[in-house]
Amino acid sequence: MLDDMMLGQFFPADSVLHRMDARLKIMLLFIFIIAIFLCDSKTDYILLTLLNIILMTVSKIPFVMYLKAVKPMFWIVLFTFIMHIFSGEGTIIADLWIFSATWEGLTEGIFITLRLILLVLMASILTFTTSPLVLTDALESLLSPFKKIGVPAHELSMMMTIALRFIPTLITETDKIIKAQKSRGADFSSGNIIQRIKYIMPILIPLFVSAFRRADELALAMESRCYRGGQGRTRMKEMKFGRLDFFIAAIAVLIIAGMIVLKIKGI
Amino acid sequence: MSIEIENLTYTYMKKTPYEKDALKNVNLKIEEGSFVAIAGHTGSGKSTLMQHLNGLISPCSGTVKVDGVDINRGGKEKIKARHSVGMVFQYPETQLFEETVYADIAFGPKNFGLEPDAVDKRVKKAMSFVGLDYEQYRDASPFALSGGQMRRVAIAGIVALEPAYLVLDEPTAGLDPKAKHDLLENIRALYRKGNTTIIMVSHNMDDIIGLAGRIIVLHDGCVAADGMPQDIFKKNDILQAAGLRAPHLTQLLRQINEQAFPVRSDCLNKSDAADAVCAAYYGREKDAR
Ligand SMILES: Nc1ncnc2c1ncn2[C@@H]1O[C@H](COP(=O)(O)OP(=O)(O)OP(=O)(O)O)[C@@H](O)[C@H]1O
Ligand SMILES: [Mg+2]
Repeated sequence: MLDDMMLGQFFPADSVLHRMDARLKIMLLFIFIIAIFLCDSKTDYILLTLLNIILMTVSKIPFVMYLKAVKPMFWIVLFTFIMHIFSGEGTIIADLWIFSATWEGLTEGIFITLRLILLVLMASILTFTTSPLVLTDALESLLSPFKKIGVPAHELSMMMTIALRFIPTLITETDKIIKAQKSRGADFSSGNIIQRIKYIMPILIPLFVSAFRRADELALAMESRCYRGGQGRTRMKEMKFGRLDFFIAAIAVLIIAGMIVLKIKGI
Repeated sequence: MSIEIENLTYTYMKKTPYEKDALKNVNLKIEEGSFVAIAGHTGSGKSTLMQHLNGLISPCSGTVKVDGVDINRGGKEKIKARHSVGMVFQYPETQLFEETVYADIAFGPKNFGLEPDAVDKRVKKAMSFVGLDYEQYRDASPFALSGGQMRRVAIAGIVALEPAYLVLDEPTAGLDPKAKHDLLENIRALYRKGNTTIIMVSHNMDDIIGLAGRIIVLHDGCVAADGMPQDIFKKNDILQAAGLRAPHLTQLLRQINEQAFPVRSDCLNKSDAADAVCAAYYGREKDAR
């Protein structure tokens, strides 16, 4: 039932994207997101979409996975799309009562939809190709310059690691509790809202109880292994910026430069 | 009346790189009134198989029929058939949620639409079945109990449904020896009463011996062996391949057989075994004289 959750899922494979330094991936994602928001012409969108498709192919992860990642957004995307079609001003395609669909609205709608989908796809490429542990390490490393101004980089990344680590556990647990209560005749799929809310308690309470118990045990386990925060902590796997990363960074710089030039020239 | 499983196949995380065939073409028939044990190494698919029995998981292919009704197809009958299978999960104490022991045990019967008097009776019966004193514990919070007591409350919550088929997934896991013994005795008593078919999952043959009339060994999603305990315990190679071992009693008798004198090794309880050893020993003395 909860098997379809693709959030933060990692798929081990042997691709360039998997081997890349995670810090570079995060930075490039950042730049890509900015690029998406700067997009305003057909060529821009075509280029970004192409780049996205190339990256998805390079990642060696089945396309179905990306579809699943986008699926939860379906209704939001549809809603925005329809909103845009009817809220633009310009050449009218069709009239529906007091609303009218316009060509301008339609193109705007397509662009916005594409924007949302590209955002999710890019973020998925990052999480699909980077193990959560590496991802949080990379974040810590990227945030560490800000430690001087009081950003608790290590603590933030530790919190994220723990959260990511326990998402699958909690999903499994929720699944099991739902099944157990179903076997006791709890019916989650019928009845009105109040009846359904009543059946949430038998799931939430055991879930909270076990989450608290786990938190407690984890804290104890960390204490007894002398965890004292990030100071002076070394790692088993140091992150290294290798040849591959320099190569990719160079390509990325070229692409970005090219895009900026195109923008300035006004194409 | 029986549970019939035909060509059951189930795959977790289908169409992802994490795809895992948990059950492969399983065929089983569990007769009403029997006590069946399902044994297998960790990850062999026992829990997956159990969850098919009351429709919590729908098969990828194949059918599961309870009393002749396909529980994954059809309307009202399907729900009734599902209700006739009670399921005690692995570590069931994690599903407790009510404020009092009474309310928690009553949750299931209430959902099944029983009247308050009937619920009351069921709760009392179920509590006495698991050996919890009604007056003492009915208003206690389930979260203030010990692990073993919580397990009993959780099991009582299912027993109170009075299912025709009771499925227990490793009910003794993590219990201390006494609690374990008591629980197994409770299960035996329930079975003796005669209107419950029991399906118990365990990877510990010592729990199964003397209880189950039939053992099904699962290995890597397939049925590796199926038969009477005496016959199963003899198949040492199959057991070993499936990551199991014969119960201590059988092993002891086998050792005596190999190192001392010939003795029957298919005894299922201690007194039988003692008799067999005595008979063999005195028989040998007589021969010597
Ligand atoms: N929710 C799930 N998602 C993906 N794979 C699963 C899931 N549940 C079980 N599996 C896999 O299916 C296989 C069978 O699991 P199952 O829980 O049925 O084993 P089991 O025999 O009950 O083991 P145990 O004795 O440890 O309880 C295992 O290899 C397991 O990794
Ligand atoms: Mg199991």
